[in-house]
Amino acid sequence: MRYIGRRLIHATLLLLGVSFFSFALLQWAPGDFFDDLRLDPRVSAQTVEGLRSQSGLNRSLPVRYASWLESVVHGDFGFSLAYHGPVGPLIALRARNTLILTGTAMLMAWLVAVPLGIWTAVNRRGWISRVFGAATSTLLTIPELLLFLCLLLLAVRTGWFPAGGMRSANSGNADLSSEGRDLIVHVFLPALGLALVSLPVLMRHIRSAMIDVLDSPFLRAARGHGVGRTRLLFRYALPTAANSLIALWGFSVGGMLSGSLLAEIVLSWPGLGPLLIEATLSRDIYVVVSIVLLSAVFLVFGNLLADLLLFATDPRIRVD
Amino acid sequence: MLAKRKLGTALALLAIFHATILFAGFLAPYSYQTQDRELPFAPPTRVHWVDASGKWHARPFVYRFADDRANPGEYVTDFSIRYPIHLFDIGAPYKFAALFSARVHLFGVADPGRIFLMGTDAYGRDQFSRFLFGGQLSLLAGLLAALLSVLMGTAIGGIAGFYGGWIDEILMRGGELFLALPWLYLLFAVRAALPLHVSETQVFLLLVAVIGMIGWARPARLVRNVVLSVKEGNSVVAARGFGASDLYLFRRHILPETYSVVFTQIALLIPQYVLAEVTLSFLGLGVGEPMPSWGSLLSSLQQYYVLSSYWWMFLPAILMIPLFLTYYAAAHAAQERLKSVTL
Amino acid sequence: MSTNSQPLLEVKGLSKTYTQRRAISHEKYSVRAFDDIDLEVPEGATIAIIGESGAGKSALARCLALLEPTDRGEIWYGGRDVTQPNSHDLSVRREIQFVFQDATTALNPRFTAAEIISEPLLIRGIGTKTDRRERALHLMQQVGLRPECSEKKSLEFSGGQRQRVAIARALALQPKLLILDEIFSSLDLVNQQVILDLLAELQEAFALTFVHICHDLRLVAQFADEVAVMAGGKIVEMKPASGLFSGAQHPATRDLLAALPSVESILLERFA
Repeated sequence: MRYIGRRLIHATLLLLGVSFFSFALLQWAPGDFFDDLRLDPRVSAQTVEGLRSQSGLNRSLPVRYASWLESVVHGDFGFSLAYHGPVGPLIALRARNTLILTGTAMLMAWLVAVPLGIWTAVNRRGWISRVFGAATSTLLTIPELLLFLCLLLLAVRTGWFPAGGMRSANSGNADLSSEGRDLIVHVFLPALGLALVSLPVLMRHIRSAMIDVLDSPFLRAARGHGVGRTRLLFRYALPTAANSLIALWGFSVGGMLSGSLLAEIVLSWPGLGPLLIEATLSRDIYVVVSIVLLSAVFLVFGNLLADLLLFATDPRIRVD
Repeated sequence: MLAKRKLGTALALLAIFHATILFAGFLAPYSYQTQDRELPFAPPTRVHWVDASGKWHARPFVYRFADDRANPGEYVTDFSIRYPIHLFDIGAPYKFAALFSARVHLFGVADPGRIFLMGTDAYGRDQFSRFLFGGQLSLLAGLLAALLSVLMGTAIGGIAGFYGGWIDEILMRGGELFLALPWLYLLFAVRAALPLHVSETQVFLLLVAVIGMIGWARPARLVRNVVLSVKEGNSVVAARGFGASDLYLFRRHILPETYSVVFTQIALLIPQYVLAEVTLSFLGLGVGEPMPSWGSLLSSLQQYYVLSSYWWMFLPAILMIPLFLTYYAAAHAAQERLKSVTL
Repeated sequence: MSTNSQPLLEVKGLSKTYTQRRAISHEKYSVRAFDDIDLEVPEGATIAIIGESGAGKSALARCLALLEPTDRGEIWYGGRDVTQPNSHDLSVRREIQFVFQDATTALNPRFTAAEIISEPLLIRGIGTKTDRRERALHLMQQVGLRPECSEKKSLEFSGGQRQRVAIARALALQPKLLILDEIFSSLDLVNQQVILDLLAELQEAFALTFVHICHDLRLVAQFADEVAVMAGGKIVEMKPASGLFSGAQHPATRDLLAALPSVESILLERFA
């Protein structure tokens, strides 16, 4: 219990630090939401100042941060200057969409990486293993941007998939299953892109984790005792490797989220990414900070979840 | 010494590539701003040795594009006039390393002939020339940012590892903070938070600074681990026993052990940072016109008709791949070399 | 043997405890290295500290060589209190030198032999580059290494040669007291004798005092004037080597001796 408590406190402090850091960074950078307005000769300086104080931009940093924190607790996450409303509802919808995308991508990636990783670890010497190794290395060097652009090209050229958006224009009244199919068709390309981006690293890690376990003395002893190959794999090797796999999963959550930003923008998926661009271009500061914080939350949460899972499954941690 | 040879080859390749970019002004037939409004989105010019009548020429040549009357917007090759390629052509002026002015280009063709090795963009600007010049910006950004990250990381990791205790705790926790930052998000935010009237150079330096400062955490941890393990080693204990100062120990015993890690980190970070700059420029958040960046070369691909009709606009992205491959190869070769030298 | 009545090194009530943390829960726990040590080392003598592994001998050796601080007690060298790290002036640190157990880790693999041996001089800022090099070559000669080896890296030497480089380095500052931590344990039998003879020569030539940490009684029987037995972090017995077999013996001593019956014959031969 102490362990869990410590990790939770650690995570909270980390998030506070991240949010404060981003807040301070944006505050320090010169310029604010009303810069465009200031350039307009028809608008007097007094009006701009009045608008500024109305939105509370003229208060000091600690005060603004504290009031923003308070609004976080209430679920508002500050006030959007561009949308004239609380930030909370605005990003909630987008966050849901980003999670749908990231979740699908992770599922796709792991569904392929785990079997392949295990298989190439078990059949280390085969030529197929080497082919896969070369393929993943190649995939690793292709810039994400290029990959997403190629997927977009695929959509535009073939028309098999829509080139963007989350729903077709004529959906809404349709029944659940066709809406579901509509969603799948829309999410497929961006999720595929994200999955392909994380696949090589994932496979490599899974493979090396499996190799470590397969080469370990206790497994070799079991093999020496005549335990069959399948049983060896599933009852001995996999449970032991599960540790590193769980930790890996926690890590990959964060990476996936960072990658989703670009995917959403290039492939027009209505998630947090496009909103962030819009907000930063118009310097809607609370939206920006909230999105940054939210993505950090996902990242930290992924790691925390992995830690807790490890705690539950690894007896060594509890004994010490 | 296979590892040594691999490293040497990788470094030589990198040197060649960077020299190419450095000599962009000389190697590019046009300036990055030269527009040809009559030839927007022209495909790459083909180089011929054999002309339309089947005659072979020693000096390669090109044909000019003309508008296709039958298909508006398309081009047809005008086979009537040959434009031979000249070496050491006199062309548009350029600055080498921002210091020397020159007008000699490696190759070119006489007006109104054009040699577009990678096609043109919407304004008829030569993509090959813009690729070379754009490389100067993107690569320089990546290099500087990587150097910054690694220098910061080495200093911080060195201090943390050397002095240990609460200094180590605080610095490494700070590093965790930076690792937890969704840096791409933050990068966008900082970039757009910059005021409107900032000069190009300032934007560039600020970008480099932000990209570099966000990534110090991993090099710092790696350097710290090396320092920790060397610090406890007996040769350091012995030197301390002779009365060596901290600075001496760091300089003579500890720092040399970090070189491999530092080099590997730089080689791994450069591609990542170049990509970061490319991504920003692609989204219009980079340095801005008229100076091209590899990212801005790709940004027109966001329009569907460009994406599906003009395949040569992909070339800058594809050409980045061998460059990154070479960087990764250098990093791996350095790691292998590290393993073979230690006890 | 010593002519001076005052011991060169004197230690009273020395104690040291290490604090460590558990791997995952980060709880602190203490390990007592040694406790309430009293020791007198006469000038020119050769003392051996023996005992089982884990009895705290290495920790004691490092504290005697002023490489690590102690928690309680006093260390007196040449009549001066040198217990506090800051109270050593450079001359004291110069006169007490330490030789490590494993020469491979004690010498930086990137340095050449000449660089290693002259490093103490470099750190102290003694002499010019040429002077230091000359002195390194001179020292190499004295420990029996050929001067042509001076540019070799330590990896290129054999185990015995590496230990000689380490000894040469320890002599660079012209010390009077050498603390030697298990220097024989990583050497083969032949090299052990070779180093033993070398040390005897050096002791004669430079009027050195030795404190050995050693767990090998065969060797101890060959070189020690006095033997201190450590068990559980304390010195349980200290007597002249000649008297090691006779007189009241601590159980720890008896266990050590029981392992090597031939020691008795060596001792009888020497002191009978």
